[in-house]
Parts: sequence; C-alpha cells; structure tokens
Amino acid sequence: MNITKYIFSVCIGGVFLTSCTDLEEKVLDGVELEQAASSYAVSSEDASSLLSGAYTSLRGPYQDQARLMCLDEHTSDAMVGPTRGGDWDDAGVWRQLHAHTFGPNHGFNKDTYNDIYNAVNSANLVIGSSSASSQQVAEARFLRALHYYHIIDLWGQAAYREIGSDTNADALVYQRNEATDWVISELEAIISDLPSAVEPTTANKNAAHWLLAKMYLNYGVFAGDAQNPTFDNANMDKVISNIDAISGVALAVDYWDNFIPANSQTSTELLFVSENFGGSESGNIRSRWFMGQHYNQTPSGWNGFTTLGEYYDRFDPNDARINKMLPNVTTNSGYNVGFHIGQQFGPGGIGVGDVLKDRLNNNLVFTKEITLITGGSSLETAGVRGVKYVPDYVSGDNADNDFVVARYADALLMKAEALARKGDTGPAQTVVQLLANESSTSIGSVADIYDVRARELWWEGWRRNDMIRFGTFLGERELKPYVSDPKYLLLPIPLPGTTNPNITQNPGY
Amino acid sequence: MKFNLLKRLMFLGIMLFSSVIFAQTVTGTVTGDEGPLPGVSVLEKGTTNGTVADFDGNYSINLTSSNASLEFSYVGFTTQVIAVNGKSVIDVVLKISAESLDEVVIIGYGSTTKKDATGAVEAISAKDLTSVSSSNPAEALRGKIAGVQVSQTNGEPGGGINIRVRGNSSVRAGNEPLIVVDGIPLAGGNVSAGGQGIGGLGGSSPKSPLNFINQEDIESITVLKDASSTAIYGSRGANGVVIITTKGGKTGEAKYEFSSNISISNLREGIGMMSPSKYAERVSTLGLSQDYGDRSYNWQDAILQTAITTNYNLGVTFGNEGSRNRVSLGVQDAEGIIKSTGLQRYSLNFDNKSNAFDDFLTINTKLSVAQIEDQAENTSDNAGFAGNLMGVGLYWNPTRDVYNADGTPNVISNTYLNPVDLLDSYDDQTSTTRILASIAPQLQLTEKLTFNMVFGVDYSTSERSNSISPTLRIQDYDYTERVNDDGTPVAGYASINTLTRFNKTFENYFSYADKISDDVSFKALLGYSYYDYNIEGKFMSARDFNKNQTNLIDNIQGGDPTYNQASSYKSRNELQSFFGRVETVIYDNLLVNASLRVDGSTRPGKDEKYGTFPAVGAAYKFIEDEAGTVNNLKVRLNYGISGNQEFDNNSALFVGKYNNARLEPASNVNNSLKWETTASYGAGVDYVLFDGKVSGSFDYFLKETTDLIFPTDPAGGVPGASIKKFVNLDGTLENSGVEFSINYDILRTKDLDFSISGNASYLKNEIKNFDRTEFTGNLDGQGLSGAQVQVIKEGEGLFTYFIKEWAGFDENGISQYVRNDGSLTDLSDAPEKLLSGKTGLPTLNIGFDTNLRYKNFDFTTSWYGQFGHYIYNNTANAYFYTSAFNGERNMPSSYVSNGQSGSDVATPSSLYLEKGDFLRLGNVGLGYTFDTKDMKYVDSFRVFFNGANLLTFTGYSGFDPEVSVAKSNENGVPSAGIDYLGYPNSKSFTFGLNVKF
Repeated sequence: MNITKYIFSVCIGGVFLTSCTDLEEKVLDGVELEQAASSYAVSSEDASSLLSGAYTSLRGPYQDQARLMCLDEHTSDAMVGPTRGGDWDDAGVWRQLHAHTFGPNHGFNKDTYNDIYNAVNSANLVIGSSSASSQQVAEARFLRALHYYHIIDLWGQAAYREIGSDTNADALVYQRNEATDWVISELEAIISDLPSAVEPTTANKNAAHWLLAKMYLNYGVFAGDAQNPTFDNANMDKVISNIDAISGVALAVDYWDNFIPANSQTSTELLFVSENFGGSESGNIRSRWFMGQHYNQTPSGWNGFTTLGEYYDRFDPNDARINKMLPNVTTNSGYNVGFHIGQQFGPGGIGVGDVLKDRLNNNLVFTKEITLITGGSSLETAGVRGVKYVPDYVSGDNADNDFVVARYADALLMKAEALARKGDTGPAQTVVQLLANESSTSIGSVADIYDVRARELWWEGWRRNDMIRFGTFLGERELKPYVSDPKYLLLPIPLPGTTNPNITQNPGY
Repeated sequence: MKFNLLKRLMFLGIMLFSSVIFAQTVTGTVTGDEGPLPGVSVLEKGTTNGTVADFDGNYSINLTSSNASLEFSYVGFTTQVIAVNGKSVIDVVLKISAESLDEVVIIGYGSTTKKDATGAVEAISAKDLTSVSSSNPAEALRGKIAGVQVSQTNGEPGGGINIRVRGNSSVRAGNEPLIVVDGIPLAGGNVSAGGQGIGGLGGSSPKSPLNFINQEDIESITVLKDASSTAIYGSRGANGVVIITTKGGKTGEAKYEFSSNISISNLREGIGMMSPSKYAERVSTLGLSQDYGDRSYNWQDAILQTAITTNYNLGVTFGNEGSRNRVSLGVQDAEGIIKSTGLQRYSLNFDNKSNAFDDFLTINTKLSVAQIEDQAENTSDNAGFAGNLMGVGLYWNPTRDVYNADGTPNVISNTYLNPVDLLDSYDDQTSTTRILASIAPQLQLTEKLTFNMVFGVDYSTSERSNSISPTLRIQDYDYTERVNDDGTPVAGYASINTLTRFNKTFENYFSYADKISDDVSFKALLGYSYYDYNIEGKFMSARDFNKNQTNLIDNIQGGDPTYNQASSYKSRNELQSFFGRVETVIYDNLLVNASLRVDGSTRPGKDEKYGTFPAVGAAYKFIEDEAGTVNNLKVRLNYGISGNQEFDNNSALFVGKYNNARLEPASNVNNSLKWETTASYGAGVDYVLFDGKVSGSFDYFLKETTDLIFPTDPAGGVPGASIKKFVNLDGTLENSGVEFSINYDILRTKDLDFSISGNASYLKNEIKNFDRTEFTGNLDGQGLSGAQVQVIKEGEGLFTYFIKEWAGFDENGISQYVRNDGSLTDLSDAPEKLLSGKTGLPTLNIGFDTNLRYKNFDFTTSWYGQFGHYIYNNTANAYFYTSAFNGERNMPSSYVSNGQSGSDVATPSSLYLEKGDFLRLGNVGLGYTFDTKDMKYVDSFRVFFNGANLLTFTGYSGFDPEVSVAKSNENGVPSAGIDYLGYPNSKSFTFGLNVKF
C-alpha cells in the first residue's frame, strides 16, 4: 500500500497546487489606469500621447455628417436630408431634425452628445496629467472650451468634472449661463500659455481669440433669453477687441484654398482645424462631397442631403463660393465645386463626360424643388446638392482635407456683426467688404450681416447658431411651414444622459 | 504522430488484453408480457461478449468466465442481470419500463437516476442521436426536451446555434447554457472568429463552438434545467447546464463500429422571386427601360448548389478488466447549399479507463482532437445598401446577362453588384483545431469515501482569412476609382483573424455515501475547483492590391502599406470555487438535496469577487412501482440561486490601451460589478401510468434574474471616455412557464411496436422594475440606418416590437399609418407604437416523435414547432418595395401587385412584421435492421434512409420561420426573430449504414 499512499499524496497535493488564487484581475493587452485621471500619465511621453489623443477625438464629433453637422445644419434652413423612396428614411432621423420634431430618443443627438463629451474627457486627461507642460495643458483647455461652446450652444447645461475627481461619481453640472462665464474665464486664463504660431492644427492664441469672440457674440443667447436675446455693447466690444487681437493670418487668395486636400498648408486664413492625414488617418470629411452626390456620379455618392431653394436663391448662381471650376475636379468628377443644379455630367464635365441619368433612367437633373419625402419622377433628383470640400482623389476613404473649425472670414464677420449691433454699420461694411466675394455688399443693418454669413459660411456648421442669434430659427420656412415650439432652441438631453441626477431634461422634452 | 500513437495503443490493447478462452454455453428464451421478444441484447456483464436474441426470442452465448452474470437489455424494458451460477439454460421475462426510470442520469459532479432526481433533469442518449446527421451535436436536442429550445441561426454548415434552457434569463450577459463535456465545464464563447466586414458587404457571425464534438462519440446529453440542479455550477449555471458524456471503452476483444452516410441537400423553399419574363412584363407595365433581354437568370442557379455531405466514422473498443479503451475516428465533408461553402471535420476520440491496486485507483483518460475547415461566402448579418451575396443574388435584374460575351462578369456599378462576380471574388476560409484532453483519477479511499480529481485542458486555435479580389468593384473598393501613389489602379481587401483559447480545469472533490440508520441514507460531496481561461487573438488586414493579384491572403504584403492594419488582444479569466452537496433518502420515499457553491472570479469588480449560490430540492414518491393505473407518482419542489458571468474580461477595470502611440481609455472601472443572479423556483410531477405504458412529467417554474448586467451608455456618465461601463441595473427579468412531457407505448408486440412521445413548454417573460428603455433590433439596408424595431421596457416581454402601425396603402399607393388616437396618417407624422405582446420570442415550443417498428423495419418521425412569436422581415423592408424595384431590384411576385407607389417610403412598420408560428417535420426516417445471427462476423447491421426538413407548416413569407439573425444594438443587447438575408435553410435526404463487428 505504500504506492497508493504515494499516489494519494500526489493527488491531494494537486488540490493545494491549484488552490486559492487571489483572483486579482490583470490587464494583459493594455495598462490598468488609476481611477483618478490625474495620476496615470506620469511621463512626458504619456502627456504628449494624451494630447495627441485629445486632438484626434475631434474627428468624430466635428467631421462626421451625423454629428455636429447634422445638429447644426439640418435643423436650419440650409440643409435637409429628404427621404427618397426606400432611401434615407433611417426611421425618420433626418426629417425630424429639419421639421423640428426630434425628441430625447434621437440617435444622432445622443451620438453627438457622447462624442463631444468624450472629447472633453480626452482633454481632461491631459489637464490632469502631472507631467504635462503648461502649453500642453493650455492646448487641452482650449479644446475643452471649444467643446463646451458646442455643448452650451446645443444643450444649454454642461456636465463637468473637477480634475482629479472620481470619474465614477455623477458629474456636476453648470447651468447655461454659468457654463458660459466659465468657458470665457477658461479662455482668458490660458491665452497667454498658448502658442502664437499660426499653425492651425495646434490650438493657438488666434483660435482662442476667435472662440472668445464667439462666446461674447452669443452671450445674449447663452446667458440671457435665448428666444429674445439682447446684445450688450460691452460684449460687442469684447468681440471686436478679440478679433483685432488675431494676428499673422489673412483671407485666403482663393475661397476654395480653405477646402482643398492641402488646405492647412495652402490657405492663409485657417485659425484652427481638425487635422486629417490623407490615406491613413482621418475623420469622415469625405462625407462633405459624398453625401449629396448621386449614385451614378463619380465618385459614386449617397444621393442624400441637399440645400433648399430658398437658401440657394441667396446666392448669385455664378458666385465662386458655390460655383467654381477646378480642372482636377472636372476631369475626375465632371462637376464644379459648390452647389449643383441642373443636368449632371460624368468625368470630364459638359461636352466630354456622359450625360448622366438616374436609376429610373430619368436625366440626372438636380432641381430646387424639394420635399421632405420625395416621390415620382424626381424621387432621386430633387434638391440642390453641394460639394463643400474639394474631393481628394488619391487618399481613398481617408481624405487629406483638414476640417475647418475656425477661419478668419468667420472672425471678421463676427467683428462686423458686433460693430453693426452697436450701430456702427459703416465700419461693419468696411470689414465685410474685405471678403473678395462681398466687396460691393452694403451693410444697412445687422440683418445684412446675417445674409453675408449665410453665403460665406454655407454648410460650415454655423447656420443654426446664426439663426438663433438673429431670431429666425423657430420661424416658418420652406419645408417647415410653421413656427416651432421654443423648446427647439435647445436640443433635448439624450435619454441616458438624464440618469445623472444633476442633469434635468431641457424644458418641453 | 497522433495516428502512430493510436496504432500503438490499439496494438498494445489487442495484444495484452485478448480474451481468455473459457468454454461454457448458456441458452434460453426472452419474453415480454406479450410473447417472445426479438432483438434483446444479451451481454456477459463487464465484457463486450454479447449476442442478440433472434426473432423467437432465443439466444445462445458462450461465456468467457465461470462466475459470469448475464445482462438482458432492450429499449423500453427494464434491464435484468442474472448470475449464471453454472446454469446452462436461462429463460427471462422482461418488464416494460415505459421510461426507464432506472436509467442513470449524469448530473453535476455525480449521477442519479430519473427515479431519484429532485430537480428538472432530462437526458437523451446515443440512440436519439443516430437519426440526425449534423455538424453540431446540439441539433440532436431540438424538439426533444420540454423547455429546451434549440434553433439554428441560419443554414450554413456548422453555423451558429442558439440553445435556450427555460427561456432567456439574461438581457445582455448571454443566454447560452454552460456546456460540460466529460466533467470539463467549457469556457463558453466562440472558438473561431467572425467574418470581417468589408465595405458595405457586412461581417458575419462565427461558427458554432460545439462543432468539434462528433455526435457519433456521444453517449448521452443531459440537460439540467432548474436551479437546484444547476446551482452546483454556481456562477455559470443560470442559463441551464448541458452535460455531454462521450462514449467509453469496454472490456473484451476488439469490437468495431462503422457508420457512414451520404446526404443530398437543396434549398428548403424559395420565396418566389420574379422570373426574367415576369420581371420584363412588370418593367414594361411601369414604362421603365430595364429589360435587357436575357431570360436565363435564376438566382438559385447563380449562387446555390445541390450539396453533398458525407460522413464516415470508425470506432473500436477493446480492453480487459484492468483497462478499457475506445478509439474512434470521424470524417465529415459537408457542402453548403450556397456554392463554395462547406465544412470538413476530422475528429479523433480516445478514452481509457484503467483500474489499479485492486480498484483503489481508477484513472479515466480522454482525448478529443478535432480539425475543422470551413469555407464561407459573403452571407453577412449586416449588409448595407449593396447587399451581401444573398441580397445581390435576389435583387439582380434577371433580364441582365450575368456574363459578358467574353466570359467576364457583367459589371453594372460598384453599388449594384453581380452575384457571380461577388461569389467568385469573395474568399473566406477558417481553419480551427480544438483539443480537449483530460485525466481523471479516482481514489476509492474507503468503501464509502472516494476522491476524484479531474485535470482538463481545452486548447483551440483558429484562423479565419477572408478577402475580396481587387477585380471586384464595390463602393470604396473600386479599382476604377482608386489609385496608389504611383497611379496604379488598386482595390481589394484581405484580412486574417486568429483566435486562440487555452483553458485549464482542475476539479477536486470527495464523495461520501453512508447510512445513518436503515431509514436514512445520504451521499455527500465536497470539492474545490479552479479554472484558468485564456483567450487571445490577432488581426491583420491590407487593402488596395494590384488588380492582377489573385492570392491576397498568401501575399498580403501586396496591399498598399498605408492601409495595413494590425491589432491584437489577450485576456485571462480565473475562477475558483468551493462546493458541497448532500443528498439524502429518508424512508425510501422522501428525497432531500441541498447544495452550496461559493464562486470566485477575476471578472467582477474588486469588491464583489465572490458569490454564493445555494440550492435545495426535495421530492416525495407518493406511489412507487405499483401495478395498476398509477404506477409511479413523484412530486418535486426545488429552489436555487445561480449566476451568470458572461461579460467580457476586464469589464470592471479602468483599462487604457495604446493606439497609434496614444494612450486611450478603453473601459470604465466599476468596483462593485457583480454577477447576475437568477433565483429559480420549481415544482414538478413525474408520473408512470397504465402499467408503464404512459409516463412523463409536468413542471412549473419561475425564474427571477436580478442585478442585470448592462453596459451603460456613456451619456449617463459624461464627461467620460466614450466607452461603456458595465453596471448592475435595477430590474427583474422574470421567466415563468410550464412544461409537459409524455411518452405513450401504444403497442409492443413481437412484430410491431408503436410509441409516441411529445413535449410542450409554454414560456412567458417580462421585465419588471426597469427604469429605462433599451432599443435593439438594429436593421440594416438602404434607408434603414439607425432603425431599431425592438425594445426592452418595463412591463413588457423581451424584444417587444416598437414600430409604426401600418394600415394599408391609400389610393395613390402611399402607406398609411395609425396615429395614437386611431386616425390614419401618412409617414410625415406617423408615431412608433409599442406593440405590446408582440415579441420576437416564441411562447410555445412543442416537439413530438412517433416510433414505429414492424419486424426489422423501423419508421420514425420527429416534429417540432414554435408559436406565438413575430418575425421582422428586414429583407423585405430593405429590398422588396416598389421604389427599390424602380431602382432595378427584383422582388418576389407577391410584392408586385400590392399597390405600393414608387414614391412610398419603406420605413420600419408592421407591414414587415409577420407571425412566426411553424410546425416542422424535422426528421423522418426509415431503417432496416438485418438479422445478423447467421452472419459470422457481424454483430449488428442497420441501413437507413432519412429526410430532414421535408415539411414545414408556416404562414411566414420569408425563407424560413426558424431564423434569428444577430441584430444586436450598440450596447450588445441582442435581438430575436429578425430575418435578414441569412444563409437559407436546406432540406436533405440521407442514406446511411451502421455496422458493428
């Protein structure tokens, strides 16, 4: 029986060999981070990589067609996503935006909310990093302020976390006016730490001045009565002084330099961009030409969004900002950049390319007439399409064009608006006429600035903000022949957001 | 190498253990209540020496040992063992046992008999498996056990299978039962990667992880349904436990078992797509110009085939009293009904049970090795506008030539694909190796006390590679639109995806059986387990290849390096458990069991590493083995708590990962994340009536799952990383139901047997005290981005539909919908409505079998059905409407004349919601068993002919009502009952033979 004892002890030994692990979970394919953001970026390399992540986190919310762009443009009179038979119904998400019937379940509202707060978090990680330099922290605080501008603009109240606080706890909340003052104080606190270099891919003093001007210009909306905003002269003076503080930039020689694949390298007027790397890493900037192009155009598009007749009619059809022949684009796509109306042609353009047809074999003729739900023979062709960024034909899905967050023309128009709101229409007109395509525009009142902004900044993400500031957002228009409930001046907090007890749903939703 | 080893082992076995010659002959007659019983198996107990009684019940057997006992067994009769004691004639009368109550049922860490079970435990044995030829052993369970629902998610060979034991007891954390193979609880999860999505073609689900088990090697499958049985598996028992036991060795001379079959499969049923001439007629009616003249296209010819499947299995058992062995080899070559799809499996199984030191030590060694090769086509779950292979095959304008005059595919555009072009250009291969090996020593420490140890290793490695040829033009992968830096036109995509799992199991437990008095006996179990589960995977992809390159996978550096992608992951889950159980029998009639398992796991938050899972069960036998109307009557009551930890590793930690040199947060911390727990209450009755002719059981259960594990949407925790945080939500998921089963032996005579068996289960689920609304059932297809049709909401069943209520077309062919006040409206202000009571889950599941034997012929039918659920036809919603037709997409004839305008919008609505009820003849079989008593070497020989899926009664208009394409939402919350361009189901005819010698 000796041998059995031996076997017995081996088996029992087996029990102890395997017994009692401490069950501590290990991360094998990453690193476990400390709970408070402040304590995990310990080397300067980490701070740099976090900052790089903070910049990258702009790509989703700022560039995708279903994030800020759809909330800022589809809700306005500049863009609509019509449903075309089976196409673009998407359970009504696009129509709801344009018709002002959206609610807390709206998917893109939620996605935008999540993405922009994720970008806030990425900035917080840098700000909380013990190894970040003062400039790195300032850059991150600029990015965070930029995100909060959009949060205040879209949802009013703003959730925030103190640096170093427990990320598991419910976030604290600034009311809209508190958040506005906080963003202004943030920008004023960091401006001296920001670089004055004019590289638009990095947060810089010019961009901070531009954003301060944006905050002061909208102060009456953000901190006052959004439905009937008033504009203090003191705030307008702040707008003017901040724009005047911008240095080292000039309006681009060609409007389209701002939107070509090499825009940051070419244009002289970009203040801040969300950077893309052609062919390898970029946001969904290509949506800016894919979204409206018909399936039978080149490159084959999505046959989606259009502008509205009323909006198109704000332009002279030959305005270079909506109708510009670029040889490379003609060769590859057969169209001019800008808005597309009428018969469309294949690569080579008129006289060279095919006369395009739609899939119902109708001629592909884009028309101003558009309805929320198209039908009949113009099912596929209704609506004026737009190509806002110049197609990048060599970088595939990862287009090289940087997304323009801020450019000098917007800054100048803010200054002109501030002047006009103070009654200084003369100086305002002088500023407006600096723009090549507005050189003979006269400014009789601030309302004229509204029209200039509509033309100069079409589809750049400012239309909703402008319409609210000018009191036109709720009003009747082409495809919304009724006055909207004032609740639509703010977007609803997406449903899961209200699980934070410090957040209350916006009134009316 | 393994084959060499096997040969040696077999040789060794045959050499060492060839039987001793001992000559004594016993003869006799076996009878039942109604005369002689033919075909009764007569076995010298403990050996493989046996024979079969002839037509008149006569048998004759030569014994190998002087103190032998003979075992007489026959299906449906109680087995008898009679000691020979020198007699030369032994006549036997076998008693009917309608359901073999003495049949041993394997349960967790032990076994019981049906008679003594206190929980809801049911088993099927090898004989139930012979008629079904499948790549997946779980299919054998379909329709066989009340409360167990097995459904294939599509018709792909080896495709995924859903097993639900007593419904869905979790919303998000997985509903698959724990699978235990020969005492090794499998880690769960997939062992092969899903198909990588390419552009709008979409990605596909992984193959079933159970394909590695060859059903020919299965001895029995037991399903533990209630918590009093599953709680011994603690944190992993909430979804039920399926215990698979493989065949073991026998003593005696080598016995061989060979089986082989061949199946021919075709599409079960089409959906009536328009023929070219009908299509042309329609085009001309509408004044369109899309008739291109060809009249030869048929989507079934273009992408489907008649599939041939062959199976070969050879098993051998040999051994002596000290060592019993079984070795088997199986080869399956299964073609799918979509061209170029299929599965080949090579499986090897080895089992040895050795005794030593006067049976003080018994060691059971098992080894199972399977190599599976899969070939797939693009049958994805989430194809976009351009469709997957099924979509493209269906929508292709049938008046267009598929090929140009020069034999090249006729390419229309990069968003309107050619089915044969896609078929030829897509390549998807998976190679999976899985090894399950275990060694299990048992020490008989005293007569009453044994110690068991199981050490098991489960290793699997899989590589899936898929590619599209650069010659295929699809959006974003179109060589006419893409050039590399040199200006060379480029396109195509290739990816390689590996998945490796390495899991170790250690089980250690003591069993003790004793009597306290003559009236009270008990069995006790005390044990410790440790599991170590490791998973890792690697992924690489490239795109933009030279148009002339053909072998993308094997020359992946041909892609433009700018787009090369690589990623990898690795994680580990450790579990340790302490468990115990006491089973007592009091006065023979009262059975009381109690068990407790304390589970620790690395997965939950650091404050919640351990969970406690108790259970009790009791049964009282009111009537036991009495003659007359009621023969047996047992009442069972049980209660238990089990858990569910099927969320991802590292879910509770704050993890950062580097991505392109940047450190990015990847998950949120939750120190208090704990398992979902399911409390289960059950009551049941087991009955045997009318002298054993009728038997069955009746069960009621109520399961309440709490601490629901959910990933919260980041919006609740902003500002924060845009990543999920796993939390336990308030709310109770309640499942309740009744289950009923019956077996009725209508006739049992010498020449004719006839029996039927059936089961039914009614199931209801509802989510309570749940303060949020979770939308799921994400549709795909043109115009359906972001559309979700199902909801999980307080007071409703899981997967209740939430869509617009369609009310017909108006005179212009525009859809009308019902407003909340009942009035009609068009799409512009049509509200979504909660269609209370209409869900994707069946409420009634039934199954029934008939078994008829006339002399040597046997004839069986096997039916199953599901009722009460609704199917959302995403395929129709995405493809079958007039404006799609106007855009040159074919549709079934039935949709043509519905009056829909070309301007009508195909928005998600009840127009696409259909009842999913069906009843299906799953299997019909005719077999002939040859009389082998005059055959010199053959012990048994049977040939059979089977038909699968030959008949289905349903009102559903899509391919198949038995469908569930994975349409989960962005939080991973699954859906149910959504049909979208899945791999279609087949019907098949099988001819096979089974011989033992």
